[in-house]
Amino acid sequence: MIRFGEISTKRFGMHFDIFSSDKNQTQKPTRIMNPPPLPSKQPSLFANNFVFEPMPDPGNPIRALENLLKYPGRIVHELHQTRAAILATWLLIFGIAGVAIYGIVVGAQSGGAQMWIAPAKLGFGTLLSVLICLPSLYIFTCLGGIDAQLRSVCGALFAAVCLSSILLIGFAPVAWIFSQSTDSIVFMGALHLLFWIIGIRFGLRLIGAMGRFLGATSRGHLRIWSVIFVLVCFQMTTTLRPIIAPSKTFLPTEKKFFLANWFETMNGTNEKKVK
Amino acid sequence: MIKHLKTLLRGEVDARCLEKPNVRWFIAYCIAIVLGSSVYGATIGLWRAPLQSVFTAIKFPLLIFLTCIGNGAVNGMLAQVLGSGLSFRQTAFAILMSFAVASLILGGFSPITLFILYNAPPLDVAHACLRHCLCWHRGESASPGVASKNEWARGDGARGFIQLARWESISGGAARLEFAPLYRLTPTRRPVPA
Repeated sequence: MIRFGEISTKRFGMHFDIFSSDKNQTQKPTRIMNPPPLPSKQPSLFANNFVFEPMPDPGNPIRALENLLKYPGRIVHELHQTRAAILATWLLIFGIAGVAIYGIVVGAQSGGAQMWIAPAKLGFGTLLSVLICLPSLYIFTCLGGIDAQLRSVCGALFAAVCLSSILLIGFAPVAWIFSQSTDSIVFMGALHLLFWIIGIRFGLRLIGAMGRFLGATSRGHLRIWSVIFVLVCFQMTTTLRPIIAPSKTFLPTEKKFFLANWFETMNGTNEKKVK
Repeated sequence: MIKHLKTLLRGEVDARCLEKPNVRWFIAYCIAIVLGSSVYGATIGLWRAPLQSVFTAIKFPLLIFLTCIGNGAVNGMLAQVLGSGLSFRQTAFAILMSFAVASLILGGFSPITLFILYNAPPLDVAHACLRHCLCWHRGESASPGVASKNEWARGDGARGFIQLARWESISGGAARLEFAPLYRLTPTRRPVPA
């Protein structure tokens, strides 16, 4: 790796001497120009480039969505201002609506009544998961050394859900293509789960950014909470099952752990029970 | 009061708090313990029956308070033996603070516990009690305790307090057995000796 040791101008024309040598050290100090500060380490390709700055036109919800995708740091900054409640409400509405829109694609696998059952279950399940995990997020935020207000924490969580739902909408055409191509519930379930994990990964990164913005002393607490939130969401899909496949009843009659449900679905035990 | 509890959760309560324990803080910690642990206890007991949730909501704060009191003398002695420089009163106050942190975390976990409870198999299913209790409640009730002790160890409190915490965990478990059952309903409300 080439490092700029010294940049000096010679008598005839501008010549940049890249490598430092003993010859340059003997030159007069008047000829030496101070080099600009150069980064000693190359920034990583997917660095968290959150710039916490005020958001222009904060009252416009469409602009808020645009900023959430392009400049999420502005959203984090705006959630700690006086108009945070309005922004948080918009983010929650967009988040639930986005998940419900993706639910239509999920329900398209089976068609019929699932076209409205799947969006309703996914929207309700997301809202319930958020409400269940909100108290623990506030406690863990405080444990992480952050002096945050409840509305800021709510706003960050709603922003995370909203960002993940936007990404899910982006994945929706891909999911729809596969849903029209295959009848395998297991494959489609795994695909939807993969898309959701990608979306929520970016959403939870936003909560981590909030922690950095407010000067968290440790990241471990928010990571533990993230694991809990993901587990609650996984269990919520089992609680509100079936979401992809059709069913005679709106809600399940049997209580199950989500891993047991997944393994039974993969083994085909659930399909036999339906028949 | 809420502001002080937030400071406690952030681990920014330093040794000066122990030098001059305040009565208002003492009351605040007691309220936090009662609220947090009773809500969590109610969600545990609800698995069996609504009446059991009432019993457990009463038992759980009592369990914590009696663990504090029961360990007071031992903690005071051990704190001096281990050279922490803390008096009996200070160690008792420190334990109360750590249990307040644990209770607040447990209170925050209560909606999740309720959700897990909704998805848990009935109590009469074979091994349901074992799976549910051991896998979730033990971990959930232990982790806040460890977290609260770590908060104290990280600060400028005495290092020997870790030893006290370990002793406290053992005797806390014994007290928990004394207050059993927390999940099952018994007419006597007390464990029957074998």
